[in-house]
Amino acid sequence: MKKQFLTAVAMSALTIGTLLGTSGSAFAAHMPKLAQSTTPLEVVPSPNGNFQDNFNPFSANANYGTLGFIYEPLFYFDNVSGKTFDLLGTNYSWSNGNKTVTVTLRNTNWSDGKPFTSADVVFTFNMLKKYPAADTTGQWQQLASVKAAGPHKVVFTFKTTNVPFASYTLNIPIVPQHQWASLGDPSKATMTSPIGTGPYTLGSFSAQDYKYVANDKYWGGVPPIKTLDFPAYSGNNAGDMALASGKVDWAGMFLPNIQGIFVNKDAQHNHYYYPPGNVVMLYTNLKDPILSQLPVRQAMSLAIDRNKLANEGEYGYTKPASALGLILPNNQAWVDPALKSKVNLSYNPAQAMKVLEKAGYKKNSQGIFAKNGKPLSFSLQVVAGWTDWDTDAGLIQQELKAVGINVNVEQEAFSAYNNNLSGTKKSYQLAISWTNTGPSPYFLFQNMLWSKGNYNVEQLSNKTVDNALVSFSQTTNPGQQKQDLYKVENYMLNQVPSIPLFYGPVWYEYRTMNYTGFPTAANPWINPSPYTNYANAIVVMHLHPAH
Amino acid sequence: MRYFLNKLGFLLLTIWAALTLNFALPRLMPGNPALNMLAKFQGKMPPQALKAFELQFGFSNQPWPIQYINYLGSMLTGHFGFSYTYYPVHVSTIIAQSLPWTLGLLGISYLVSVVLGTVLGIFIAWRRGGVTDSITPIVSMTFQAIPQFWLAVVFVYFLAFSNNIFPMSHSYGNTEVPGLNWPFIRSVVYHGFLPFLVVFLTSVSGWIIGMRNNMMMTLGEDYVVFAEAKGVSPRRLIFNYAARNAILPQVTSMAIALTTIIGGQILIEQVFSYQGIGFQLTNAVTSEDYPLIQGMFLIVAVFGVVINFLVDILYGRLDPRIRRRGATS
Amino acid sequence: MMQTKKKRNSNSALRGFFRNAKAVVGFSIFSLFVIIGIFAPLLAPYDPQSTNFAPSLGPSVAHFFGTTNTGQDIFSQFIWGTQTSLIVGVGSSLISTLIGFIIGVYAGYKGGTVDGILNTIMNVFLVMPGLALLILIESYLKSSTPLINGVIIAVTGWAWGARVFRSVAMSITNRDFIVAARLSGAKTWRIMFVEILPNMTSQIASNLIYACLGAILAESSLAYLGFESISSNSWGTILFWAQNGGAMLSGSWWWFVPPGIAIALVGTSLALMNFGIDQITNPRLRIHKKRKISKKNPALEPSGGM
Repeated sequence: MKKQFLTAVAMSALTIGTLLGTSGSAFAAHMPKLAQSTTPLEVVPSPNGNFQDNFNPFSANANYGTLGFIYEPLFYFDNVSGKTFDLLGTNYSWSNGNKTVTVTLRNTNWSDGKPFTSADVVFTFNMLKKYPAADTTGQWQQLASVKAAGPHKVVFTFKTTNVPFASYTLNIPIVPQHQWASLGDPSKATMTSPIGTGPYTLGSFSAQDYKYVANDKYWGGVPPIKTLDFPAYSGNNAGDMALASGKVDWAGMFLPNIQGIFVNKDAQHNHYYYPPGNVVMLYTNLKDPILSQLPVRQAMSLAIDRNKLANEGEYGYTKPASALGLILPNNQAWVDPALKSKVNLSYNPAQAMKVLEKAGYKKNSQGIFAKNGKPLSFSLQVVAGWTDWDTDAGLIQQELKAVGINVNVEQEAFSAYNNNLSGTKKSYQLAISWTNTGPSPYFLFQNMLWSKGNYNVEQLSNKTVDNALVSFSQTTNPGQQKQDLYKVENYMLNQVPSIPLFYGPVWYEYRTMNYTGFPTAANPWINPSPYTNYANAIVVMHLHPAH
Repeated sequence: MRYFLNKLGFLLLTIWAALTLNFALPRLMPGNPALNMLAKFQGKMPPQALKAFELQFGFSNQPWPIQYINYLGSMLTGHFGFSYTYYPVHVSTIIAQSLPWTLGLLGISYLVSVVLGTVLGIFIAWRRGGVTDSITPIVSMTFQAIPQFWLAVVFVYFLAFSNNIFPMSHSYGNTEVPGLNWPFIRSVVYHGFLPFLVVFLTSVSGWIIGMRNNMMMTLGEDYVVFAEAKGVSPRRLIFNYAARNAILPQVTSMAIALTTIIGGQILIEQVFSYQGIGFQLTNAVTSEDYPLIQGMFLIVAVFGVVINFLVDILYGRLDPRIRRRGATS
Repeated sequence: MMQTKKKRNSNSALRGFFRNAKAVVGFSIFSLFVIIGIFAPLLAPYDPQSTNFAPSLGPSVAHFFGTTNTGQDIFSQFIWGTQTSLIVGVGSSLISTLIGFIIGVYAGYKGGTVDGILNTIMNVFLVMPGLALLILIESYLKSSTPLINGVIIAVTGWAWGARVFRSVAMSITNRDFIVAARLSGAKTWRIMFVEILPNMTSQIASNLIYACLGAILAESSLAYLGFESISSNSWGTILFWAQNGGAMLSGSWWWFVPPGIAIALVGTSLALMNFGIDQITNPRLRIHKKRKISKKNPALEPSGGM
């Protein structure tokens, strides 16, 4: 029951968003030619308890690695590096006023030896059309048609121009027609004998452990490791202890005091780094008459000591977020040059009080700022049991209290919290929550700030922002895209539609006792966590035995 | 026969009560968790599945008696619904997978603590007033007063994590192939030892003290005193005269103590990542997987009730007076 | 079964209690914790929630039990936690004993159909696995407080006592003084509390003790599973945060050992007191050089706790 925030990261990864700014990019995974090692790689993507025998790529609850080790999409768009990796596609290009994308397919086979062709791609998409329950990313709300143009070419035509959306489309896992044609509704199937194109196949399954074995005919070469072993651990001490005692090679777990518990146990081999994965926001309900006032939001932003949140609530595993809503350094290339000096948010309680006084607020007898008899007093919703955010909420409460803003922390069950924030009728004042991201900042902004965004928790509806985001989606020109996002960054900075707190970390620990070649802080070329779909397989293909 | 029917009636009644509790709780709680829960899975789950949930939890606009009947119907036909966390896996599949592990671990630790505890109780009653008599109850009571999860965590830390004597988690080694082969069985025993030890240490006290007290009471009965006066040897007195009768109340305690042990094992499984019902239940709670929570609770309750029923029947066989008296005890 | 009226002189029972070595030891330990609980505001050096200290310190003069990873003083948490856990334990045991007394004695006194129904309800509660039931309830409640949990524990755990009270009530319902009271027109509740209650003081004491132990254990389990709000502070929540803060893995034994030991000590002290009560009320359990044959048989079954 610890650190459930991890779940949030995994959840936002479900709606993985990616961008196609530049077309036809190719970052082919580099495949080392080394002898295969038989020592299993022990992987714990997340300590969530027992497994169920389900490797269905269209099930949100498929076992870790289903997407990546077994099934592959056409392309993988990385949200940490912003890079594009060619998987089943080798090239794509836009045409027809950015409504059509043509993909060239790789010439490869399914793990049962049958050839992979454009018919499989067309089948996969038509299956989603037939069974909308499995079409969780809403492909057929945007797609007009998916057609084969020869055995290794597929043409996707969209109803309207929406360039970034194609990243969802090209990210759909492709399944073999010869197995799935008879399965019926893919959302209801529990796939226990998966056939994919990926570097691994399912070896064995039990509730407490499953194994992937190398697919030696993988198009990317012989996988460097024969067996990947996934043991089940509970979220409590069991997973931490396994990692600390050197039983795990690659993990995506939260551990308190990781330096002492894990790294110091074997400093030569035990490593971690937590790249920023999303921005954790203090959302302000803009439909609230008081929170809709800019000075109130500005004052709150000034009164929060983000370093303290990052160091105490988040155990020092993350850094304060940027003022622009960007994830830095991931999104460094997207920073508006004119705003370079304003990226960092400052902690200035005195200034916070000045802002409120200037806006006509005066402290009442309890020391709380008030105007027209209405004190600044808000409820702050967090999820009960997500202990880091619960701690952060307590710290924010203390800090805001210090400048004269009263906050009542309300811990809610996740379902209630989620309903309050993302339901159609939003009932909250302040809330700590995540952002949904992609390989460019567009996805975060589009989800959070677009008036019809999926995670427009603060309920912003602003023409400038909407227009900029729509403009971005019409073009494949990187220069134009940047100009569009600069407008949104300026809006974030000056209007504070929601208050950035700190980055949500991507959990990633690795042990180089048996294998090396893991992504490092010095070379963050991909999202390194084993729970990241598709990136997981690319990382494994880059590993090699330590000796 | 009447006794049997009485007990069977009670068995069904209790299962009905557990079912009704599952039905009533979500409706009694503030904030309607069921609606929140449906909201949580909107988009992630096909409409048919949501419909199934609605049916299962009865959150339709139908009046509640009809909801209730529908609910009972689906439960009785084994339709516990889908798990949220593992959708589209059925709750019943998860139960079937976890139950054997819980039954195995629970059964063994339970039987061993009953038998060993009873024997120890007889022994210290025999040596009453001696050193073992004054120390054993206190030591065992201290263990009973320790929170089981805490003892489990301490054991894991000292015996598994720091010293590597026992495995830290799981019910068997990940390299073993489940089946009737020696390495697998050995691995299961090895992995089960620490969880067993915790259940044993924290539950044996009741049996020791209970048996000792029963013995002391029986030793005061006229027929025993008479036998003693007649010159029956102390050993025979203890085992042939006193223990036989003193054991009867232990049997009744068996059923009741079971519910306590089941509760404790939930936490112990959690600490050891032992793939049983308790582990699933606590994980289901973490992920707010209500169908799974309900299913797990139901199976734990039914299990307890059935064992209780079996013990009652056994007791009826052992003590004919009970059978005649009917089911009022 | 032969029973004589046992309106015993409470002074002699008390004297018996304090002459029993086990009971005295148990009582002393328990009193120590009660004193700590009562004087928590004076004994705790700091605010248990304040995060103003250096994080993850070991034991020192300034911080007897060190600090948490967010810089809270564990000793202060422990002291305040003593208060919470004891209030939960004692409060919950009072509530559950009261419920158990009313239902059990009413059933035993009335007999017939009333008894049949109440006894069945009692048995249903007895065979429901307590902790599983608590987890089920808490999973809907989420972050509740220790006090609410104490009430829930009492409401789900009263049947243990009721069972004992019922059997005692049944055995004395037809005795002269009860019959006399009934004939003189005394109300049922008056008979229950004035006539019957004094005859089962030892069972009540024993039940209070076991219910208290059960409640403390159950509350700590629920807190450990994370069912209590972060602002609550009991022994169980300290264990939850220790587990959450990796106390085990980083070897911070001073964080997770004191609450566990404290629970075990309080539990042992309660068990010792119960042991003493058993021996006083049940003379056969005492070790005599020469066994006296007694006709009294209060038939105290071993209780399994929660």
